[in-house]
Amino acid sequence: MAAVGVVRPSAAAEINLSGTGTFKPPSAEQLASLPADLAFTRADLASGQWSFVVRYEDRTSDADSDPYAGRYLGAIRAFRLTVGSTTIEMPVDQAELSVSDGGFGSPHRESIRLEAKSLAPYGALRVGWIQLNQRSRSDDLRGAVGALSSDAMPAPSTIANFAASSPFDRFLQLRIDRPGEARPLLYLSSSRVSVAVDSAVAR
Amino acid sequence: MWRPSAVFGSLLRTAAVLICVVTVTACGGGGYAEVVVDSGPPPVALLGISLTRVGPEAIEVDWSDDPYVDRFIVRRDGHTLANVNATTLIDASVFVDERYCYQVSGYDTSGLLVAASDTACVVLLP
Repeated sequence: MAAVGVVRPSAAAEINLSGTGTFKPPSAEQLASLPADLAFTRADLASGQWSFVVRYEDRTSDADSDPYAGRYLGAIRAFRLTVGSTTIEMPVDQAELSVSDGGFGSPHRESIRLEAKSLAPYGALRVGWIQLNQRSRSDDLRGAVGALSSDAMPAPSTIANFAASSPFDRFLQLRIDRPGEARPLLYLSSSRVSVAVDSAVAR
Repeated sequence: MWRPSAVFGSLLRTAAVLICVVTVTACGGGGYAEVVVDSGPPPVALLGISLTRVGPEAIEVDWSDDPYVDRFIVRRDGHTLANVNATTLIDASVFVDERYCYQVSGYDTSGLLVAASDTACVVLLP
């Protein structure tokens, strides 16, 4: 029988993470320059309020051969972002949960990232809940050193609230890039986000 | 900017020290001396500081105001980045894949340090 709110260590489970917070709204000039067909209205962006919900499966295999980097393709089953009063569902086939224990060519950095990408007529929309633990370049956080001991998928509580190197190294980010343009059309980021594990459903 | 409470506090502390010295001297050093410990507020107020990525290669530094501050000096990795009288700054002279640490100090019109923030760090990702 499936149990809500209980994670059985031996069984796969679908975890619901949710985050809510605020961001600094774009200026009036920035808002006025945005295309009308954007996923979010100017009122949404001016609200400074956003939230996200991610549902992921915690027994997905690591698809990355780097022993210090975990790529859990297909783990994310739903990625929902709300800005103001508009909610969008990000396509899960473009979503990824990745873990770095000093991998990806940066031994001095650990990270947990939940990211999703969507292609739209106005550009590529990318959303991410990103948390970093970084030391100086001479440090090596691979293995037992640092906040992560491996590239295995961390516990849900760690994915929600990783021991980041600074309060500003855990952030929700949204950016929209137009093809061929170096500067993003829209870039929002905020560390004023509270994230929690809502529920876990054993499968 | 003149800071009446700070000046008054300083005068009180000076007076307390003088009273102690006079008391000890008057007793010839043979009696007991009353020690006055000044436990007033710290002379340097704490400024709140926050960092926000406002672009792929841009960091916004925001800090709280202090009524006795005339100028703020923003330091990045220990080096002076700006000398301003605002409470926000966008640093666009940063590169991705780097970590930057900011600290803000506030000075009064006499150039005395009257407020300071903690150091706040942020990593920029590609």
